[in-house]
Amino acid sequence: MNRNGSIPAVPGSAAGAATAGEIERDLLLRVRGLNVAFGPADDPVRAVRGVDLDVRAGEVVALVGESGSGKTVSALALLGLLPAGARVSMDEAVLAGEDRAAMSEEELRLVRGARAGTVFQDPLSSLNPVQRIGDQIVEAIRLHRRIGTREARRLAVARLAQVGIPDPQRRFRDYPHQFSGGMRQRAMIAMALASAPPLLIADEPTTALDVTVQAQILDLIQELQRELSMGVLLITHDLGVVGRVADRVVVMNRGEVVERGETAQILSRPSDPYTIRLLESLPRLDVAKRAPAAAGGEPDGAARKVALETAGLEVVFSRRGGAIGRKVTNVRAVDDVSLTVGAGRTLGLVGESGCGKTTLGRAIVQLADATAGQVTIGGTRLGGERARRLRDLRRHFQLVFQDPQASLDPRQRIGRILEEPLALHDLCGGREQRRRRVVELLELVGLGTEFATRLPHELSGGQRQRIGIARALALEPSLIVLDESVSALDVAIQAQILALLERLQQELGIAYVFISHDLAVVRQIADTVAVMYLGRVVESGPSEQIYREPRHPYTAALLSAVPIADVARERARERIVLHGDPPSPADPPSGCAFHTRCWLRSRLGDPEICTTARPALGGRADGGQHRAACHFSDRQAELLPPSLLGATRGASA
Amino acid sequence: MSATMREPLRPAPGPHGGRTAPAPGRGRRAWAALGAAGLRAVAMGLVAFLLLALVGPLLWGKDPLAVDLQSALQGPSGTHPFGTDELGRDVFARFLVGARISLAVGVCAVFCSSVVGTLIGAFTGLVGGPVDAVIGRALDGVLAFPALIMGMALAVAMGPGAVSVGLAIAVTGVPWYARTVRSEVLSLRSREFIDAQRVLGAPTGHILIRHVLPSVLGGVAVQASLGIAYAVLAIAGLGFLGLGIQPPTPEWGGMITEGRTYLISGQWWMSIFPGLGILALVTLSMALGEGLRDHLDPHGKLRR
Amino acid sequence: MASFVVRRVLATLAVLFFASLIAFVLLRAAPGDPARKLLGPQASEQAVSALRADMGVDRPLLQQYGTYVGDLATGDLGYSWRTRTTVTAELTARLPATLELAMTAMAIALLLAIPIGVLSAGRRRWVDRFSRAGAIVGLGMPQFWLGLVLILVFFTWLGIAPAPFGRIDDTVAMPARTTGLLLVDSLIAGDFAAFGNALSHLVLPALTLAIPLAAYLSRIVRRSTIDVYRNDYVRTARAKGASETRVLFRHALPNALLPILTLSGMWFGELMAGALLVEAVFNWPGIGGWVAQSIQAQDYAPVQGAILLGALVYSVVNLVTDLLYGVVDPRIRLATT
Repeated sequence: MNRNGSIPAVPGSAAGAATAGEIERDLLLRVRGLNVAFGPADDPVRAVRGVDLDVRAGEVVALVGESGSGKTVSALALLGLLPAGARVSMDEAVLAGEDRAAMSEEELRLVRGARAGTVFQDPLSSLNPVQRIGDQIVEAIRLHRRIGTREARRLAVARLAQVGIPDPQRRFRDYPHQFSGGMRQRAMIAMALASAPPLLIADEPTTALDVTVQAQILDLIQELQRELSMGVLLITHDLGVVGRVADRVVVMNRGEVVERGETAQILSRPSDPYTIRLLESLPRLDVAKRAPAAAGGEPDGAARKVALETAGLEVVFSRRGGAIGRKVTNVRAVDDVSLTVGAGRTLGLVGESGCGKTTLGRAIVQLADATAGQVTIGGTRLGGERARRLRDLRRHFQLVFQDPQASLDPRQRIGRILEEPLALHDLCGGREQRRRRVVELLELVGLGTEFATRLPHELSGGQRQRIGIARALALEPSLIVLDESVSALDVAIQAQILALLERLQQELGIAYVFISHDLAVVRQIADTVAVMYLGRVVESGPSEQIYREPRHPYTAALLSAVPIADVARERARERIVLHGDPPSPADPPSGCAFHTRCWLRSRLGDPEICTTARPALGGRADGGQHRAACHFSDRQAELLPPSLLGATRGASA
Repeated sequence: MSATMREPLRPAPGPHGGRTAPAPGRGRRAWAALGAAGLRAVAMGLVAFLLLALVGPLLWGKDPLAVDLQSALQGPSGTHPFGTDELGRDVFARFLVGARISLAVGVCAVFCSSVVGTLIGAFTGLVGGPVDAVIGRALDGVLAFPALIMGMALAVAMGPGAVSVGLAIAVTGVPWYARTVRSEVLSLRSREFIDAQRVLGAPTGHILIRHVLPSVLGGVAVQASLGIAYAVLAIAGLGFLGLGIQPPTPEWGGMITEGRTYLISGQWWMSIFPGLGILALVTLSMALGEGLRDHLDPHGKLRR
Repeated sequence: MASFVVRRVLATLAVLFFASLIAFVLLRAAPGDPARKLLGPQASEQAVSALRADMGVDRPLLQQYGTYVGDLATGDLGYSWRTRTTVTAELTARLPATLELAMTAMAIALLLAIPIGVLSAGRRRWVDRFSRAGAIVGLGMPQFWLGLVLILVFFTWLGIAPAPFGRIDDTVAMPARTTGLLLVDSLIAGDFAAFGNALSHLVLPALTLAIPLAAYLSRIVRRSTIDVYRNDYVRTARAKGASETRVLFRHALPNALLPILTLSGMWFGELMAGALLVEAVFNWPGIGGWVAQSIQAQDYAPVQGAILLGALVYSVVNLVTDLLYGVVDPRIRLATT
C-alpha cells in the first residue's frame, strides 16, 4: 500500500516489531494493515483496505479523502465504534499508547473517552437532546474517574470555560438546542477532553459550521493541542483545513492510502495522480476566475443587456407565537436588496447560514413572496400578475437546487423529468420532438441517452445535479439561480459541474445567480459578488476588487477565515477572527447589524455611530461599481492585515 | 401553529397509523414489493381467502341455515369438518358464509373511509390555517371513539345490522387516513421536488395529480390493509355483543357468542373455528400492511 | 411552557366539544322517536308525548344540546330504567372493578412489551422474527375469543382457573371496601384468602386484555429503540466510554419509551373498548359488562354515559401525556414562544 514507502518514523515495515517489545513512548496511534468489510461474506464491500497510520504525541495528522474514501470508517474501526455488521482486521495496532490487539472489549471501552477523545461532525445530533450539556460532560468525566458529582461538576465547568464558552456556570444547565452550532461543537470538544486524553480523534469537526465559526473551532483545537501536547487525528475532506492545522497528511482514496507525508510537501508537490487531481480541482480563494469569459475590457452596464434587476427587495416572514397566536414576530429574511446581473454574467451571492441568501434566490424566482420591492427579469417586471401568466413567464428564469436528490421526483424516470417542463410549456410540439430534445439536453450536460430510462436514485450525486441543470435548461431561460448547487459534491465533481456551468454560459449566454457559502468556489465562477449579512447586502462589486481589497470588515473577516491549501501562505497569513455567532435575524442589532462582531469597530475604539445609524451601501469616491455598507470602509484598507490571502500566487509557485 | 404542534407530539404508527415515505416507481415497484417472498406468500393467502369467501359456499353446498336437530352439537367429523351447532347446522357452511360477510362489510367500509379520509387529509394538508385546525379537532373528536364504541352508538341510534356496523367502521377509520395523508402532504409540500415543479411552471392540479397523489397512495395502501384487519375485528366484536349483523345470518362474532355457553362445557368447535378464521384473516391483512410499510419505508430497508 | 399548556388545554376542550356533539347527534338526533323506543310499541300516544315533553326531546335541537351539555357539566348522565339508578352512581360504583382489571392488564402489557421490544431490536434476528410472529398473532386474535380459549383451556380442560363469573367466589367474604380495588382492600384487611381468590379471578381476564396490547406495544418499542440507536448521540456515548448497559438505560431507553407515552391516549381507548368485551366474557362486574347488558336490554342512558366517559378519559389521557411529554422534552418545555 505504501506506494512511496515514505512512512517517516517506522522502523522497518516488519510486523511484530512493536507488539513484542514495548511501545515507543510518544506513539499514540499506530495501525498496520487495517481492513474493514461490510455486507455478505461472499460479496463484501471492502470499505478499508490495508491502511497504515501513525499519530504521535504533539502532532496533528490529517486523514484526507472524499466521501466514501473510508477515512471515517478507519477511525471508527480503531475505536471499536463500527456497527455490528462490520468485519475488522488489523495486523498490528496501538491505540492511545496501548496495544489494541491485546485489549478486551471492556478495556477498549475504558480507553475510549479516557485516553482517546472523539469529536464528531454534527454537534447537534451528536449530543443527547434531552440531557443538559453539563450533565453530558459530567458523565464523560465520571465514567473514568471515581469522583463525586460536585467535584465532577466543578471540573465540567472548568472544561466549558477552557473551550471558550462564556458564562460556563450558567450554560452548564442548558440543553443542546439552546446552544448555537459553534457553541455545541465547543461543548463536544469539552466532552472529548473531559478526561484529558492524550489522543483526540476529530471527524470532520468543522464541516457543519459556518466559515467564521470554523476558524474559531480550528483555532481552539490547535490551541488545546499545543497546550496539552495531544496527538490529533483530524479527519477531513477540506484541504484548506489541512493546510491550516495539519503537520502530516495521509490521503485516502477508495479505501486505500494513496499518499502520505509532510503537509507542505503533499500540498505543494503531490506525487500520487489522485492527490494531484484532487489539488487541481480544488477551487482556491487565492486564484481568480480562470477565463474572464467574454468580458474582455468592456465596461459593465452600458452595452450589456440586463438579465436581472432587483430594487429594494424585501421578504418578511411573520411567525405567530404565544398561547393563541397573537404574538407576531417578524423576520426580515431579505432587507432592501438591490442587485443587477448583466446578461450572460454571473453574480456570486455569498454569506453564512441564515443570512437570507437562499430566501433572496427564492424571491427572485417567485417561490417566496416579496413583501416590498421589485424583481425585473429580462425587462419584465414580476409580481402581481395572474397565476397563469406567471407560469408562462417562469420559463425565463429557473432554479437549480442544492440537493439534487430531493429536487427530483423519486418516482419519475429521467426522461420524464426532462420532458415534463417541455410539455408544460408546450415547447416542442409532439412527443417525438420532445424525446429528441431530451436527448439533446442530456448531451448538453454531458450525459448519454441511456440515462433517460433511469430513476434518480440510480444516479450519482454529480449526475443528478447534471439532470437538475438539464431540467432548468430545458426551458431555455435567460437566468438561472443556482442555490448551493455544488456544495454537496466532492471537489472533483464540483470542478466538473463548475466547468459545465461556464461552458453553458458561453454557449447559451445564460446569466447566473450563484448562491454559495464557499468563497473559493464563488471566486472561481463569479463576475460580480454580493456579500450578505442578516438579510442585507453589505458589500457588492466586481469579483476581483472584492477579493483583492474588500471594503467591508465582514467581507474581510470571511476571506480571512477561509483556510488556503498552501502551507507557506496559509501559515504566513495574519488572520481576523470574528467572535461569536451571527445574531438571530429575528432580532438584529441596532444600527449597523454587524457592529456586535465587528473587528474594525473595536480597532477604531468603538465609535458610537455604528450602533445608532445604519450605513448605506455606498460607492467609492471614484464612482466605481464597488460598494460597501460601512461607515468606515475608507479606513479599512489601512487597518487590514497585509497578507489577507497570503502572498500573490506568483510568489509561491 | 397549534395545528402543526400536533404532529411531532403524536406520531401515529400503530395497528392503524404509520408514516411512510414514498418509494420510486409505481406499478413495477409495487409488484417488486409483492415479489419479496414473504409479501407474496401473504398476498397469496389473502387471495385464497377471497376465493374461499366467493366460491366456497357454492362448492361446499350445505345450507348454513338448515336446522337439523337430530345431528345437533356433533364434534368435527368427515361430514361436518367443523362440527354442528346446537340447532344441528353445519358450522363449516356457516364459517364460509361468515368469511364472505366479514370481507364484504370490511372491504366496503375501508374503501369508503379511505376515500373520504384521503380527500379530507389532502384538503386540510393543502389549505392549512384555521380550516385545518378546526377539521383537525373534529377528527380528534372522532378518534375519541374506538370503532367498537361507535358501532355501539350507531346500533343504538339506527338499529343493529350490516349498515350500522359498516358505517361505524368507516367513520372511525376516516381520521387515520386523513392524518396519514395530511402529514404526507405537509412533508411533501416542503420537499424540494414540489418547489421544482412550481419553478417549472406546473399548475397546482398537475402537481397534485402527478407528484403528490402517487406518494400519498403508498401510505393509504398500508393504512387500508391494516384497516381491513381492524374492521374484521370490529365486526366480530360487535357481533359478539349482539350489535352486529343479526342472526340467523352466520357472522363470525355472532357464531362465537352462540357457541360460548357450550364452549364452557367442552363443545369447543362452535366458537373456536370462527375465531381461527378471524385470526387468519386479520393476521394476513396485518402482515400485508406491515410488509408494505417496511417496503415503502427507507428506514425499514436499512434494518439489519 | 405556559403557552404550550394553554394551547393543549384549549385543544382538549375543543376535542371534548366535538366528542359531546357526536355523542349527542348519534343518540338524540338520530332518526326515530326515543320516547317511543323507550316505552315500546304498546304504549299509548299520550304516554309517549308526555315522556317526550319530560325528556325535552320536543324542543329545538339546539336547545336540547344546551340542556344536555348543562347536564353533563353537572355530572348528570341520565337514568337507567333497567337498574333504576342514576347512570353516574352506577358508573362510580362499577369503576373500581374496571380500573383494577385495566391497570393490571396495563402493567402486564408493559412488563411484557418493553423487554420483548428492546430484545427484538437487538442483534439476534431470531428474537425479532419470533416476537414479530407473536405480535401479529396477538394482535390478530379477537379479544373475546382469546378469553374464551383461555377459559376452555384453563377452566374446562385443566380445571386450574376459577369459573369465569365475577371478581371473587361467592363463598369468599368480600373484604371491607376502602379503595374498591379487591387486591388492595384484601391486603389492607390482611385477608390473604380473599386476596388469593381475587387474584385467581383476575389473572385470565387481565391476560386477555393485556396480550393484544403487549403485542402492539412491543412492536412500538422495537421500532423506536431501533430509531434511537441510529442517533449520533448513541455513538457519542460509546465514544465517551459508556458501557452498552449504560447506553441502553441512560441514553436509549428513555427516548425509546417516549412513543409509549405519546400513544397512550390511543391504546387507552383500545384498552377501554377491549374491557367492554372482556368483562362480558368473564361476567366481570365492571362498567363494560354493565354496558353490554344494558345494550341487550335496550337501556340506552348507560350506553351514552359510558361513551361520554370513554371520550373524556381518552381526551384527558391525551392531555396529560402531551403535558408530560412537554416536561420530558426540554425542546418543548423551554420553547420561548
